[in-house]
Amino acid sequence: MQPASRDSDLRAMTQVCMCFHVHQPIRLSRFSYFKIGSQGDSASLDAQYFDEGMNKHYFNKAADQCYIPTNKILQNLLDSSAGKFRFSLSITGTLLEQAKKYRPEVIDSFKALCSTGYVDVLDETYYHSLSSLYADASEFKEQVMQHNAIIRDLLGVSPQSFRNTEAIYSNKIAHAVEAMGYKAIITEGVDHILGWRSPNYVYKPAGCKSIRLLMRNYKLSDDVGFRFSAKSWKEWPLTADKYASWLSATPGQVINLFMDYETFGEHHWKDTGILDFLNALPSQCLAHDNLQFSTVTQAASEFSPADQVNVPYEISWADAERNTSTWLGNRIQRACFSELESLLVQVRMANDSAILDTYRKLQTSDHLMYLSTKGMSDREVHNYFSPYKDSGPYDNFISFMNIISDFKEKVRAKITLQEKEQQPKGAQSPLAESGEDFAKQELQTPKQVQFA
Amino acid sequence: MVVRVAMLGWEFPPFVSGGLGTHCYELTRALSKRGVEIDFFMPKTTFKISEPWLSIYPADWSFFQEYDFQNISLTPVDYSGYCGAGSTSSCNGTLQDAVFSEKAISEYANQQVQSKSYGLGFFEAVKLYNYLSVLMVQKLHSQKPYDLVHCHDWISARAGMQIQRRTGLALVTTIHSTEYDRTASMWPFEQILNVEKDAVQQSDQVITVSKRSAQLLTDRFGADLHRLNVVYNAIDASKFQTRKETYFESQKPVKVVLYHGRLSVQKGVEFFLKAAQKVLSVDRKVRFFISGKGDLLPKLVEMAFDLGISDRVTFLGYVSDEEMKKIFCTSDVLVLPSVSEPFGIVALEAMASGTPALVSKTSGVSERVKNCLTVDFWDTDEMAAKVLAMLNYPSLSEEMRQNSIEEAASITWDEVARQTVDVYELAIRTRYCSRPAAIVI
Repeated sequence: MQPASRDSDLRAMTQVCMCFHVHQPIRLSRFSYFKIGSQGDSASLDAQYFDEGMNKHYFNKAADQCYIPTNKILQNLLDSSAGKFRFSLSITGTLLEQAKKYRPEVIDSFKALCSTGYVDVLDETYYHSLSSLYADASEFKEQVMQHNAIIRDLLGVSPQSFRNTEAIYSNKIAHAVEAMGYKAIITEGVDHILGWRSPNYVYKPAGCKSIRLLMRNYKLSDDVGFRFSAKSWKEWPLTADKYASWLSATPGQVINLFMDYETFGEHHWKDTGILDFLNALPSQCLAHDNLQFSTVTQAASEFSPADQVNVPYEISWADAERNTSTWLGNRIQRACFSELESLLVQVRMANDSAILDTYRKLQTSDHLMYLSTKGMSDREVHNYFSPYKDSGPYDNFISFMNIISDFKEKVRAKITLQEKEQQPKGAQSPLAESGEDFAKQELQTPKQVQFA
Repeated sequence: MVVRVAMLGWEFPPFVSGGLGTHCYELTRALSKRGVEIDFFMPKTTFKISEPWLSIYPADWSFFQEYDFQNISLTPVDYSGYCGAGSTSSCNGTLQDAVFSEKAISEYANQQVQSKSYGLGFFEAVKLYNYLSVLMVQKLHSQKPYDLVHCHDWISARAGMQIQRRTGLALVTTIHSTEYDRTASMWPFEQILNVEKDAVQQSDQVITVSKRSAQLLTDRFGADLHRLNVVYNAIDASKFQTRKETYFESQKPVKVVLYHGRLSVQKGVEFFLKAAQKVLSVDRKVRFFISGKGDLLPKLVEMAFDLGISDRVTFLGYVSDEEMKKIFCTSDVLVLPSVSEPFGIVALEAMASGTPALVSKTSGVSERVKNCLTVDFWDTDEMAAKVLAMLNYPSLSEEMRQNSIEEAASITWDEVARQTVDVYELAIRTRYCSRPAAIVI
């Protein structure tokens, strides 16, 4: 896959490794407490739980502002650079599903990018979920497999590297991902993990054998992702040649620039010049003798690890804390998370594909982020991304927990129905009985799990 | 730097009938910490009121000596409401104004000697209080000048305007609530509206307790945006207990939903009862406490009966502050269903006690605090659904409880005093920089 000419001068070159993350959640409806347990079969659950109108609105907005124009720019860049420009992409299943439904041309344009052979697509959980944090590892694995299948199906490529939801990472996650056969995994270049070390090298996760770890250069990534349009920033306006000169002057082997794809056209609108910046960046970088573009998979296979990185507790790229507190920072978030995790067994017992799909859509991490009660600076970021502008975390919690409570009843009803069908008349199922007891105890006050 | 303020207020603890007294108490205390010297003018009461951080002057004839009146104009305070903005001619002490005769003064004086209160009807008493306050401020101002006059609500507003005209002092008026709020815009009292309108238009700076209240002053009274300031109310959280207590009935724990406040149209208590019925249709074990008194009580009792929930609703009547602190601790949710609420300090009191609050979107407090839930007062389905969620999701009530306590502790009167001093300075600048100095009588 690697042209031979590149290998010789590889060591002298700094690789610019860009990875764009493309995601849209399937947003929840407002669901009243009085609707819990109302009539409805499992097939119509999605219509009740998810806000079709809102999802369509947000998807069209993102497609018009970002996906369509940015894909066009990247396509031109790939077509004209003969392999000198290349990048990685991670696209969630929930995005692809909505693209298929609302704007099929978005899928076509991503597929066209992939067919150039210079785009490295990464795998992740189909639903952008926190399933990597569950005690039972099988749900995580299944969601990753599901993602792998949709990428093969819709984009015609087979991912070899991995990016977990919001770059959530730990030794344990690295192990699980290695066991699934991936060559590389990416995460945030968290200061307290790296210590004196630079993020601009390839690392090896502690205790793993073959998998490689790439860590985000958050300073240079956020210069584009967050600060590009900030007029109060002393470097404003950021031009492609200025940015390329910074990259050129950066020591190390691989500069990992990971950012939301929506950076281009949505987080920064077109009139900030972000699309022109992107358009000019490859040629400006390649004008420097020491810069070359590389993908995640490529960088991981070309460089031997500089060191081993030990991450005993989860880190992520979110908020100032760079941990999981964005989604699990308070009681209401942890309550929803543990409710969902504990539903896993029953969802499997229900053995119904519609129920399973709904269950997984509920696991999308965005739903938990909207429940964050963190103060000031992060709150602004959270509010920016929240579609529920006029309501706070408590309202979002009530609606989400109402949905989970209702979903729980539907799952139990399904299990009971199946038990009845399977058992001959008169025979009492111990499972159904215990399930009903469970229902009585828990419906009023959902169980709360204490976290250490 | 504002150092000497003449403040006019109708209430001061322990003489309290609403939130105004508490506000004046906490505000003056916090202002004095910032070096502001306050003379507080209030009605004559049977209470002996004094606090170390301010001088309190009950408005009374006995304050004056005979010879005082040789120096002070006895022009009466106009109350008819025609003296609008700009019509200063009637206020310059010319012959247009009737002057109280010596005889009238001594008659009033005699009346006061004989009765402990003014012995008049409400409006007459307000009028006399205003008149006396003007004379007293004038007298004290001639001995040791004030920097500014600060009035609270319509009830002392006329005096403020009169002092402004007679002495040229800058005037700040705090509008805690308007007649439109108090009556929920049904049959507002014209005479009071006129006073409020004049006060809002003639004060050098106006303080309101929320953005929605400021909006109302602009819409209804044509208030000048440059002279409107929002200073939210605060709470002394240290006065409240945060210990959570469970309410038991026949030795069984029950969940309690609380309403606390006056029982008037403005407060939307009937929406609270309708929501209560909807909650009880799901969960009969919940109890609803309604504390406070007001003219709506008989109607509400009847309504609870008609809704078939009178066995689940308890009317507590008047509850003292000390008892109220305990009731907050035993309540699981506080609901503030107000139709029109300039602020709604009861929500802060509940939060300081660790009781999660559900407040109407038409309340000022909903602008100020983050850790409460909001609802449209008329949407009793949503109100009931939220109450049920708050009662039944322990993670929610615990998260709100902890954050409420933390947030209430951060909403301090020191901050209110800081902002008020800023408004004082603005008022003096408005007074002396943007228009010619007033004619001093």
